Amino acid sequence: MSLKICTAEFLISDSRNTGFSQAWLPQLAAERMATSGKDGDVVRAPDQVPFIESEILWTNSYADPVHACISIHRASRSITTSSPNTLVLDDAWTWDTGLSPSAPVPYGTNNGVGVRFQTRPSSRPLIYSRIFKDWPDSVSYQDLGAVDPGHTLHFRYRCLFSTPGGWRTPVQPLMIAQARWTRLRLWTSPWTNGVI
Amino acid sequence: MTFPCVDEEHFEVTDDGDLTPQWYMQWRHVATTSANGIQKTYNISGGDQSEDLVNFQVDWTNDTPIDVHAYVLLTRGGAIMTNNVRNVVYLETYFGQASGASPSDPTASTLLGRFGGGADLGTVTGPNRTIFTNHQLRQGERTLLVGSTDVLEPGESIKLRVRLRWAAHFWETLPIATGATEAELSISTGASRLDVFAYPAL
Repeated sequence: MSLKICTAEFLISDSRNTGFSQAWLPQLAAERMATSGKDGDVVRAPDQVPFIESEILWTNSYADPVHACISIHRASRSITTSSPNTLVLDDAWTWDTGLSPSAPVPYGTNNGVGVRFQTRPSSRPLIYSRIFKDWPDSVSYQDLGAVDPGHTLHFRYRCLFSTPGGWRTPVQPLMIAQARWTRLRLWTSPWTNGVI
Repeated sequence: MTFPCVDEEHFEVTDDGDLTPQWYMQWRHVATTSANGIQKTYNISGGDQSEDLVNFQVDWTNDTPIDVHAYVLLTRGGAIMTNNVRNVVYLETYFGQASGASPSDPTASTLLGRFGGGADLGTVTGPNRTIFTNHQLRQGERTLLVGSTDVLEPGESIKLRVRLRWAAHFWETLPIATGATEAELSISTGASRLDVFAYPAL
């Protein structure tokens, strides 16, 4: 038996013991591994085509507010293209917090890997030109703010393929895009004084 | 406070007599600063045109009564570098760090990252001209640890400065064989962010 003492935020005390509440511990709250469903040969895509889609719903079931942050770990990405076509794999994410949150569908450009190797101007016949490009894996940390007790966080991620700019049928075309996977990890830590 | 008997550096006893952990006894995100993205187009015959694009700094002062460890993460927005056969271009990231009682602003002089490239298809003769090529490379947003983790005594500060530089080399002076109408030289890069994190040094 232990003496039950009066506690405020982030501590709990009962007849068994006194200790930290679960919300006090910085922790991995949720995790998602999502793989690409469309890796391989690609064709012209003026509108963005999702290669990877993933989302996390997480409810703060603790008695205290937490600070939420997500790490978006993207696999090595590979693109092979032929002159003059641009191939792009953009990353986009959105989130919402509340009693019943609904994050919008993620769209976005100018945030991803891509390559163009244009060896002739548009007025001239094309020549055979291929470029092979690989990028290492990368991580982005996104701050999501406070999640109050009883509130839910909705986070959505998409990897979007598109072919911005001009498009011509290359000489002996070879066009391949590989996004592989994206891993989402939701981290929480206590919302204390001085936290932003 | 005599009961309960606690280390008041670690725990706070509220006016009501309730016990709670001290707010600073935790890993915390304590400061953030960001710089806007940049979009610029350069003259393909304008020489090197190297220049600094962004120079910004995050500061944080230890406002807790105990020593803390502090470190900084840099998040760089996505970048698009486009160049023609006459130029090779890079986006370089430099940083500088200072900490102590009242450190002067650091100079961002240490190279941290370099992104970009170029392509060259050679020349043709009669008359001598270079062969047309446009090359574009894109890279997504990423977060990295920048600088060292410093111990700050109460009242001491950490400062970390980041500079983005358009490092361009004009290395082919011959005219472009099929004309320069579609030759490109430009950069587009998203916002940059510096975040300071602190945790107690016990």
